[in-house]
Amino acid sequence: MAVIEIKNLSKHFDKVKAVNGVDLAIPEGELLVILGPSGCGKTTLMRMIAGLEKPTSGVISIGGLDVTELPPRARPIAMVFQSYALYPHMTVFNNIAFPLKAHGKFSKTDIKEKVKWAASILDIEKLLERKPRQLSGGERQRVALGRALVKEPKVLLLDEPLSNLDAKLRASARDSLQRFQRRLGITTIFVTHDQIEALGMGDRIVVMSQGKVMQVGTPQDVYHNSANTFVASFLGSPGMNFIQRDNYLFGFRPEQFVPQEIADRKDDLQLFSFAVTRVEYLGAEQQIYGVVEGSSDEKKVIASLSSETNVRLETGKTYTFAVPQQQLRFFDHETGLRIEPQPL
Amino acid sequence: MKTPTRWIKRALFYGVVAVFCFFSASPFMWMIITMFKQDKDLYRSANNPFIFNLPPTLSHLDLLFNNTNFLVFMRNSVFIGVLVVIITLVISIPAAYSLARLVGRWGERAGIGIFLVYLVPPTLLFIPLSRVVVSLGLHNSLWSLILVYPTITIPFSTWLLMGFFKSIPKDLEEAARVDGYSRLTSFIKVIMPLSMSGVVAVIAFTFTLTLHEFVYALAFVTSSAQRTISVGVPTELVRGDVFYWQSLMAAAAIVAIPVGLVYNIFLDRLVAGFTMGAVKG
Repeated sequence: MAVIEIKNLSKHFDKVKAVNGVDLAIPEGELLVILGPSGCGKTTLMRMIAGLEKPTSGVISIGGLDVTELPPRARPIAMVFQSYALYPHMTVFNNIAFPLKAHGKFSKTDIKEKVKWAASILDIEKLLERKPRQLSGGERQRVALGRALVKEPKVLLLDEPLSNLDAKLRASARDSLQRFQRRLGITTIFVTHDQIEALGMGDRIVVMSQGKVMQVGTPQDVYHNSANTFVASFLGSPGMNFIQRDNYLFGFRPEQFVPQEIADRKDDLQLFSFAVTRVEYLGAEQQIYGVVEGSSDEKKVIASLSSETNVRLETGKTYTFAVPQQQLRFFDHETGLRIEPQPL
Repeated sequence: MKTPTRWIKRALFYGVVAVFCFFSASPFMWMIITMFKQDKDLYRSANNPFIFNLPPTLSHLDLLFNNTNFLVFMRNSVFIGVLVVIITLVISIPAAYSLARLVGRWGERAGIGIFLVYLVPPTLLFIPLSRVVVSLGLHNSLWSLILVYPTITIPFSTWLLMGFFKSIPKDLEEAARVDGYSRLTSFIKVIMPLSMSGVVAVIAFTFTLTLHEFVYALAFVTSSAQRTISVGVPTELVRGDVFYWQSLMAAAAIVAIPVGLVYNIFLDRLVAGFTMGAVKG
């Protein structure tokens, strides 16, 4: 059964449609990632689920209860803010205990026990007497998570919780956050603009753009079977290459676009004549920029190759590149939506 | 090589500090010395004014406490001060918070408008305000000042506190609301403790303003028993062309020194309070 159900939810700020007719159902225990570029409405969507933003129209229900009109404190949710929003004048202990003190229904010993429990899962027992300013970024993140967990919410909302960590810490934080979510089995919504976080952590991904849901699906689904050109070009770095033909577009991922010599011969290959304009060395891989001859718009196309490959490519020369037929994706020229394969 | 330059730097630093200390402390020293001086010592122009040429005396303190209404003035001033502080806090805290958070861009403009009100001088306002005071039947009463002083203190305090509330990230109170608190309780539990510097600055500003304010106190209150220190002391201790200098100094020192001490205790918070308001307001 779905823990959260969102029906036709919209939020308009004056003329800006921040969220525009979103429908979502999130089953129990799922880690759902909302992914999109900044300004796509993902944070507004999360804030509406939290109750911090009042929807213009639509319905949100959590655990079967219609919460659309309820204030945040009446919703069975907890949230970790991008800035962590730890209370600077309180110790870590008091920060974590703060949600428990809200209703006055827990005794002092209960509070102590629950804080200890949250601190022990997050491995921050030694920090309880410190103030937030004495903590590192990773420790702050765990304290914020502890404060969210201690009231045992039905739904955990995470607003870009990793974006304030430095790059090296982020990989281990992704891992620990995901394991932690699995262990507790808590339904989690994770907002991010980072596709690595989304693809690496999500059970399902919601890709948003301009207030609308572009696609909902597993990481494999949204990456390999993108529903439209936005999703296809947003995911992957670099995103999908598109080439225009008559009244449709076809596309392929840069890593599928390889010199004919090293292409897998068992595949049914589509060959292109590729004029290389620039070779960019990026350590483990190299990116080859160029133009596919015979395409009607002469747009730049990128190929991602391993740096270890034997084929030498030089700027200004033309090579034969190949893409397996089954890796070609076709989209409508007008709407950008995925269509059936077309004859090339 | 390093040590001599460090010594010079230190000497310069403490030299400048010493000059400032002398500059701010010498009036107090002079006041304190003068209040114990005999008339014969004070009025001889050949005497050094900064030392006791004749033995000190307590007779001027006796005059101040026993032959003037000084204690009544003090009580009046403290009474007015405390009440005006309370009124100012009760009105300016919610006003500043709502202007900082709830009204959006109009809040900023309204805040500037409110601050402009503070810039209208009392010398211009006391005539219209005296009509208000008279029509309310408060003339010649302490309550007229309790009514009028907030017109100066509230605009300034609102503006000062606005800067404070704006500098506190919205995330913090939203976190409190998600954590199970209402808007009001999150304000009390999270925003207020973080704005204490601003509140202390408002209390200090308001209280000292009511202590030294002169124009309204002179215009609205005439009976001696209702006067404040700022008006009462000069009217009772300047009789005709006779200045009771020693008693005047004593009155000034007795009021100024406790205020100065309190300022020093809260100095860090006050500096934080006023500069924060100035930068973020």
